[in-house]
Parts: sequence; C-alpha cells; structure tokens
Amino acid sequence: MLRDRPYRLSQPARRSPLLMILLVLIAAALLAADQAGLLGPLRLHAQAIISPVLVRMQQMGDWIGSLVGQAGDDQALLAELEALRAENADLKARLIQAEALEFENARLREQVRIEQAYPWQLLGADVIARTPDTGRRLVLFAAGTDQGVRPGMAVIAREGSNPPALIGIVEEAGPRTASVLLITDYSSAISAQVYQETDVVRGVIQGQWQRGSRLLLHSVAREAPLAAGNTVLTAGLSAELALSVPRAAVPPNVPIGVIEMVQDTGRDRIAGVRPFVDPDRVRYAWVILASDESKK
Amino acid sequence: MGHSRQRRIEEIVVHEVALFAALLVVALVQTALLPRPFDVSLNLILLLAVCHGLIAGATSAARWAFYGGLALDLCAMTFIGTHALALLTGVIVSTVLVSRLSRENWLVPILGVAIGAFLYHAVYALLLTLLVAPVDFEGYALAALLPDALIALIPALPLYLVFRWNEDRVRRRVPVDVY
Repeated sequence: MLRDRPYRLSQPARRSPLLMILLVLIAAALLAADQAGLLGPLRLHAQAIISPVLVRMQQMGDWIGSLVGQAGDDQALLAELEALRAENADLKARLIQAEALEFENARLREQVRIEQAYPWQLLGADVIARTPDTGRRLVLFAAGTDQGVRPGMAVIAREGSNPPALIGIVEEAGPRTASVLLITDYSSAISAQVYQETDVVRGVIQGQWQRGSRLLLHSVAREAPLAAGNTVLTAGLSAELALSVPRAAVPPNVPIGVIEMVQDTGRDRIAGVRPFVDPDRVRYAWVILASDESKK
Repeated sequence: MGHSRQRRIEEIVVHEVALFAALLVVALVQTALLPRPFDVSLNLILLLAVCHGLIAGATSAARWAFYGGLALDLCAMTFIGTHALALLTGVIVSTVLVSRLSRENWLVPILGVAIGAFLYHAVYALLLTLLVAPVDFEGYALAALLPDALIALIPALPLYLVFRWNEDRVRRRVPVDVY
C-alpha cells in the first residue's frame, strides 16, 4: 500500500566549486573560439534552425500584443471596430483580392517608388527578431546570402512622410537570415555628410541609443556651417575610395536624419541628430544590394 | 553493474539535453514573445536561474545559467559564451551570497535578483567593451542595467515563492510503502 506522509529530506546537494569553475571555463573557451571564427558555421546552422521558430513566435507575440492592446482600451476597440467595418466593406468590394497579396503589392510598390527616386537596387524583407537585452541594437533580417545579402550592405526603411532612411548595416549574413547592426547602437560609426549650398560638411555619425534612439554627428571642424534642420546623409567614403572594409557597400547620399542641435566642444563641433526612421520600430526594411550613381 | 552505470550516464545526458531544450524555449520566449514596455526587456533566464539557485543551490543554478546563456547567445546573434559568462557570474555570486540568509526571508529573491542583474550587466558590458566596442558605462547603467534590474524585481518574489512551494511539495511528500 502506498501512502504519502511528511518527510524532510536532507538539504540541497553541497556546492561543487569544481563544476562551477568548469562551466565558466567552458563558456570562456567558447567565447574565445567564436571570436576567432571557429564556431561561425555552427552558429549559422543553429540560426538556420532557430530563425523559423523565432518568426512564428514573433508573429504570435504581435497577435497577443494586439489582443492586449484591444482589451485595455475601449477607444481602441471602437476604432478597431470602425476599421474592421471599413475593411469588411473593402474586402466585399475587392472580392477576389487576397489580403496577403495586397500587402505584398503595397510593399513592392513602395520599393519601386524608392528605386525610381534613388539609384539603388533593393531587396525587401521582414525584421523577425531583436536582441533580447537592452544592451545592444541588433535585429535579425529575413533574407540572407541566398538572396544576395552580404555583410556591409546598408539597410533602409521608411516611416510616415519621411524619406527612406538608413537604419543599419548588415553585420553578418547566413543563408536565409542576416543580422543588422542598427545605426543607434553605440558601436555603429558611419561616415556622413551635410550639404550646405556650395559646401559639404563631413563627419562621423555615431549611435546614441542611451538617449532614445538619437544619433551624434562628430569629428566635424569647428568652423563648419552646421545648423538645426540640416539633413544628414551618408558620405559613402569607403565605397567612393573602393576600400575593402566592412562598410564599403554603404552608398553615398542615403538619408539618415535631421540635425536638432549643434554644440561646440574644444576644437570640434558636434550635432545631435534625429533619425528619419526609428530603427527600433521597423518591421519591414530593404537592403541596398547595389547602387548605380549614373542613374541619377 | 556496468550496464546500470551506462544507463545512469544516459539518464544524465537526457536530463541535461532536456534542460537545455527547456531553457532554449524560454530564451525564444524572452527574445520574440515577451512584451517590451518602454523598450525594456525582462531577463527571464536570469530570473529563473537565480530563483532556482536560491532553492536548489549554486551548482544547479550554474548549469541553468550556462545552458540559458548559450540559448540566449544563439537567439541574440552574439558571440557564443557572452551571455553564458555574464549569467554564470551573476547567478553564482548572487546565489552564494544570498543563500546565507534564511529561505523564509522575503528579501532573499529581491536581493538575489538585484545582485544577479547588476553583475550580469556589469560583465556583459565589460565583454562588449573587450570584444565589440567601448561601452559608455554610465549611459549603459542608466539605459540598460537600472530598468532591466527594476523590471526583473517585480516577478522575483512570486516566482521564488512558486519555486519554494514546489521544492517543499517534492521534499515533504515522499511515497513510502506501508504494509
């Protein structure tokens, strides 16, 4: 006969410092090996497996988020109801048009508009995941080397009435996914320029995520004519000089943002820049695969 | 004898793989599913590892931190070992320090998670400085460490109570044959 009765077992197992030290050493060894590039293929394989799961979970998260948002706000519910009625009427009018195709078409039309206005060849894809901690600004892009994405390529997006603008640089590319270092990350530094009538002011645009997705333009000469409201564009210096450095694929004249304030520090002049597109809010973006300056 | 020993090893391997798989799922949830109020993410792995460590001891918590860290590295596209090292430091030190207090003390999980989060971010920022680019530590503390630690403190106590309740349930209710 089996019966339960109160019975206290011994305290948890004693600490094993050896195992803890071993785990720390293994972690350090893995870190050193990965930094030396020994684990790159393994990591890409693992990401190829994990990425589809991440995509599904991201979609589920968006769905749950929209449900929570609806439940918490009556006004939002009413607005949603109105939108649903309008959408229903729209669907009735269009009958055979699938919503997914319509959505895809809208994105492609947007891409064509950008390609007509700028000398870029684009590839669009979803942003499927973000870094799980607040410390970095990296996103996973749903296109990789199979689609022609290479490290160093510029990634752009569009928000509201702003022009398509730089949001990051491809840092690493797997077969179907690529990690993108956002321009707001503190380790992102890109050559930038501001056109001032007959003059061009050049500097370096650096991420300042600690200040709410703002950017900093520095390494500018103190006498440079900078003013609030000026538009900051990429300088594309690496591409211009045909340097084989990671940023070589960033073309010139990609919009970045608008100067909000200018300040003098020592011999330099710095400027706070508000990006045209907040990279943290982007769900769909385009990689600039190629740039043909002669098209302009 | 040899057969039972081999079976024991197999059981250990299966147990460790299952633990890694479970923590990978948690890491995926943390990366893709959890909402980010004010762009602050809840470090679920750190929270689980610290609460587990306060109940089951530092050695077991170190295993959780190691596997959880590797899972986060895979999800976060960081160098493999970065999160693992940061988590191991935070979890081991906080568990060893706080487990000296009575388990009944409600401050135990709060202190454990606070110390764990602080050390995790300190080591993470240090590794970023060494491996990626210099980190502005003051800005990092204000923008990442402080909000992450504060948001992790909210579920710390309820989660710890759940772990403690489960541990008590397992330890007290042992089936005994009575004839």
